[in-house]
Amino acid sequence: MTKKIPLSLQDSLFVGFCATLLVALTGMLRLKLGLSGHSMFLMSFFYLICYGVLGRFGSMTACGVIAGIVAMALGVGKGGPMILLKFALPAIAMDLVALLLPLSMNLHWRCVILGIAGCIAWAGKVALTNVLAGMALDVVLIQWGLSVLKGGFFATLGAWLVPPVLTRLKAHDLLHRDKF
Amino acid sequence: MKLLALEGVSFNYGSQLPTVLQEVNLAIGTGQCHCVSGPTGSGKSSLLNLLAGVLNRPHEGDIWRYPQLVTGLVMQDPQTQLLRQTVGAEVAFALENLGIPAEKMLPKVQLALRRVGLYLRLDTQVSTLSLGQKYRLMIAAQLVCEPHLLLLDEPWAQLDDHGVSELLAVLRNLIQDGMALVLVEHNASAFAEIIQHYWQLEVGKLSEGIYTVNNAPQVEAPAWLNQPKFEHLGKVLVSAEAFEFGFDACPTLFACPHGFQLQACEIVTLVGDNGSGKTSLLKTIAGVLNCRQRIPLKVLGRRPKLGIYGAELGLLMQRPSRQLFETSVLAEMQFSLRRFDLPKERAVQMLDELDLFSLAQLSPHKLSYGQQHLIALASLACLRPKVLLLDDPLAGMDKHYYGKVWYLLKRLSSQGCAILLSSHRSIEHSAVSRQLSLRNGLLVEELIETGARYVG
Repeated sequence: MTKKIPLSLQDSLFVGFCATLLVALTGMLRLKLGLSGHSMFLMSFFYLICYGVLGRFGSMTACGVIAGIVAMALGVGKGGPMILLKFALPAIAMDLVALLLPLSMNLHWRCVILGIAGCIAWAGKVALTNVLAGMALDVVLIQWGLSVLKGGFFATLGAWLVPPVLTRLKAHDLLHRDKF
Repeated sequence: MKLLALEGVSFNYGSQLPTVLQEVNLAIGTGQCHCVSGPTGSGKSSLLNLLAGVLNRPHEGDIWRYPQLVTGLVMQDPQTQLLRQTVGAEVAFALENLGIPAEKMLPKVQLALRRVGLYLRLDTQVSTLSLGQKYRLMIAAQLVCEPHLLLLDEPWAQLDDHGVSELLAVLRNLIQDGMALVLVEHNASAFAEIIQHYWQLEVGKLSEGIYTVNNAPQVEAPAWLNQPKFEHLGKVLVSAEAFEFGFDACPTLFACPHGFQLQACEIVTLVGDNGSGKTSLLKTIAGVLNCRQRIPLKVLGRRPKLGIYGAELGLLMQRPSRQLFETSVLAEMQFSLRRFDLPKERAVQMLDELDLFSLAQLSPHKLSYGQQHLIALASLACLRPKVLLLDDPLAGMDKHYYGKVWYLLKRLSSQGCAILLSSHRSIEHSAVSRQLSLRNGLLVEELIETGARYVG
């Protein structure tokens, strides 16, 4: 009963579904909020849902890379090929940080920490773009800090939504894991 | 020839949850008919899902299948298995997935429908079928793949007597053709002439025999049953004058030439075959269904309209999962209490009274069909409504749960609640005051027969 469940077609489809829905919502909503970092809300939510449902290393990265490729192919958002980095970098960072977090930690806190880790990586991509555009290093650092703050706020919001959604999925017998 | 064998199979839905199956051994051969009985919620449906191969959770023990074994599964709740909009498309669905050419599909689809006694046009909308017809449609959708093994989950509870006799004839022919059958059934006697092997599943153990309730709940006469009901007696809560009922732009479904009344403290049964219009009538009384043609109906002194009665009227749907949505049984029962600002303690008291407190923290969506029915009913009973409409509430229940339902209904009745309960079989119970019969397109009051019948 304790043997590890192999990656099923169902799991793979779920990751693809999350990635596609993330891009579709990002593309459809096109929120003109004038607030930097609001894209981290959907990103942290969908990546963490993958983390909670599959509970295996690489699930968030897979979701991020698929979302990046789909977004790049469909021309969603601004940034051209950099859009791939925008989606993939936070996912990779979140997967790596997830390896370090103890499973005994409360799921809410784990989600918040992972969301902020993803946000820091996302802000790194913003900084890289600024450097490539020839911005002065001190301004780049200030911009990076602001991005972390604003993105962190939205990432935390998205992360808070994840545990109740996972609880509902488990209640409907859609998750076969005993513990998140 | 052996088709499928379970050897020492153990299974549960989570390491912290009780074991559903424990060291189960079962072998099924061609032309055999097995019947599994057991208490409500004992894991019979889980066993069927495991046999069908749709339960892909980890389990212990070995499951051996005959190479190229084709299994067909007809689940307890038709709504979860029907995918397409028309009868023809539903039966052809599996063939489409197997890439069968369209010209070869038609005879197969027609044959499958004939085998289950459904003589309908292929473009008939599935939504217009009754529950019993839907059940037969599901069997046809399985037969079209010519399975070696057919698994049926409580067919008796879903079908009327006519439907059961038709199904029995179908199953008899299938066994003669060499098909193996596994039935999960509380009322095994209805299929006694075809069953060869009886099994009972209790506390995870599968053993030979028919499950019988040894410790039927001793319902003591509580104080509330002896309380005088004079304050409620004679109050007409639901009244209808003579009317004809039919859906918009459709011929009349049934007529009620004398009208009917429902008084406080009454438990009235509404009996009719599958598709006769019982569910539609209950929904109309609750204000859920609005046809263009006005029916001269008054409920609690008002014309029925959705949302105006609040906690005063409760409707238990035929499919309990439609009205369960919380993540735990306790939260489910407390939801409406919170909404109507009623004491939440009633939920705990109710679970205690029904001896269901062990289910309090479980997800209502993972419970068995019968358990879901009882929890949905208990959630409504907590509100202490004045009018309670129950659509086939006894489906999927063993005698033990049957007793709990009647305990609850008698209690509500003593508090002044008027209860209208639909079923496709007559219900013999001392608490039933009257019976409304919906047969041959007529809704009339009928004398209650005294023949011994068990419904549940």
